[in-house]
Amino acid sequence: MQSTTRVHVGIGVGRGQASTVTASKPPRRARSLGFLLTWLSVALAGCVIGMSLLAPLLAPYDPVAVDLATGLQAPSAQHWLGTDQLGRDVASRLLWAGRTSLSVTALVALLTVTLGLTLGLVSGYCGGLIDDLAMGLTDLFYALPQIILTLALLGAVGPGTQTMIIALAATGWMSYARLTRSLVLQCRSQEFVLAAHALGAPLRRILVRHLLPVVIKPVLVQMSLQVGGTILTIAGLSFLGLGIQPPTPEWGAMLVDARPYLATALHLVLPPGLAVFLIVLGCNALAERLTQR
Amino acid sequence: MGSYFLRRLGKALVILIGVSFLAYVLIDLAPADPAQVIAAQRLGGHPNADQVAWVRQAYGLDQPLLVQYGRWAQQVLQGNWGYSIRTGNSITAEIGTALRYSLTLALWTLSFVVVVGVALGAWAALRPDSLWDQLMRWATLIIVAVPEFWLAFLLILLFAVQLGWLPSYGAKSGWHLILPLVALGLGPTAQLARLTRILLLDELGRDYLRTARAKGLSARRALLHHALPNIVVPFITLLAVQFSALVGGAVIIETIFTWPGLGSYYITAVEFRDIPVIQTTVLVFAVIISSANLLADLSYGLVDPRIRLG
Repeated sequence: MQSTTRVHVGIGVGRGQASTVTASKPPRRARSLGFLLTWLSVALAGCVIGMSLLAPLLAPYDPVAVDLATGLQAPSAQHWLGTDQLGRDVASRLLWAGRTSLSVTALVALLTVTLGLTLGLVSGYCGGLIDDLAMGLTDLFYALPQIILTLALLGAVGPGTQTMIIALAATGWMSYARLTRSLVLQCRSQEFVLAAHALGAPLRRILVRHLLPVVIKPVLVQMSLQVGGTILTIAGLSFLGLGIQPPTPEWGAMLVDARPYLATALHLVLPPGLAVFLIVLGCNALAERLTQR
Repeated sequence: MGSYFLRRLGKALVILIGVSFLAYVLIDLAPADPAQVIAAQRLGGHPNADQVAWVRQAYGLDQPLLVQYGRWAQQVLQGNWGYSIRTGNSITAEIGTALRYSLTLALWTLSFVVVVGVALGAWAALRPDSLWDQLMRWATLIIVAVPEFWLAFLLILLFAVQLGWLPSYGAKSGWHLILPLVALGLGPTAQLARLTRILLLDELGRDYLRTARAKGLSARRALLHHALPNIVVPFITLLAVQFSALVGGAVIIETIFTWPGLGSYYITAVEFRDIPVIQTTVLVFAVIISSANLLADLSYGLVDPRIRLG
């Protein structure tokens, strides 16, 4: 074996998250197969995302229009994926659900990255008591799986999209903070930072103009690792009826609605799960690709 | 070793105290007035202002938050965990029953995850970059991306509805354990198989094993007698992380299969906004996971004598 294997075990390797462990590059034939599969899954995820974003143009029906007379119809030329128990068009709901899920995911990702970056930059650069406190807080939030913490907040405040977004952001920033802090620690005593400090640059300038550009790329890679897990958690919370509330269509909520018809209406069970699966697979495949470099 | 043990134990305790404080502060986040809720539950119907005020005083809800927390913490430590708002039963008893079911599910799943995960990972590491290796890498990537509740539905559909082989809900016999176990364990198994493969490949590529292989050691023997024992330490770290993921995943899986464990108990409490139960259950979850992490950290010194903890 010529190439040495690179092992980097990430912090948050949970369900739905791609692992941050990378191996040596396989030989050319296997690599081209892997390359093909990676881009295939990324393209499929891109299709689902693109179609969801274009839901207002693509969706043939109103996703919340109830028509009890045409309830639980099998797929047909009129309703491509059939109708649900309330006669709502499944295809339209699927597309609109994607819009909801994706915008919520994007918002959560943005909030967690901002929170983690800020905390990591400040604690890494300032050190001392601030650092101890920030890392203590990180350990504290790592003491429980994200879903349990999020559920606790939802249980106290009550279900809802806004609460869920805040709860997910409040419980998902730790890996970014740890990563940012470790990167800042590596370069805080390098010349460019010392020079900026010696020239009298204020703390904010050092953090934003000098340290942020160094850490942003690894943090974005970390985000690609984590975003699949976020999508799964959002779907899971909505599945439990605590996230996005009906009648707003959401993939997890669609699945729990389909539960009574599990044995009889496959067209209600398969599409939402498949949509979540394709997006998460695409994210994870991309993340694996990114971490292999 | 002794001082390390004490320091590590201290850290776990600090974290638990932090979690308990977080859990308690939740009350302050709730929009409903706890005195109102308790009065309504105890007296039935709509209590008047006097009754609410009486409850507020009697339960110490007019005290500062820290005083309330101190009182609550004292009661929790004494094993008096209060009563569920929903059922009116003792939380201690309810959690005791739920915990038994949860531990049964968690430990069987963990055993499944370790055995199958390590076997698959080792099998792939023996033939790196072969077609089988590639297939397994993709299979694991795919499994990790499947939403567990959807996987649970598909399993129910296939094995309970179509084939009729296995029961899809309840916890009456060992057969009832199989579907939740697979739905819960498949994801962590795939993760562990991936990670085991990487760790093994790294170990197999080291100089001492290359030399041994050059002198005629078989690949199987190199794997079983040299590489596997040497990856135990990082493996335990990964296992602790996967265990935490398992506990989180069990929340949804137990609900789907109506497995009467801590996860479904927790979800019911969250749905009913049963604050005392939520607080206590969060704390129990934290104790379970902190113990697992503590056990993992302390076992390093046992499995690898080179690690002098101190």
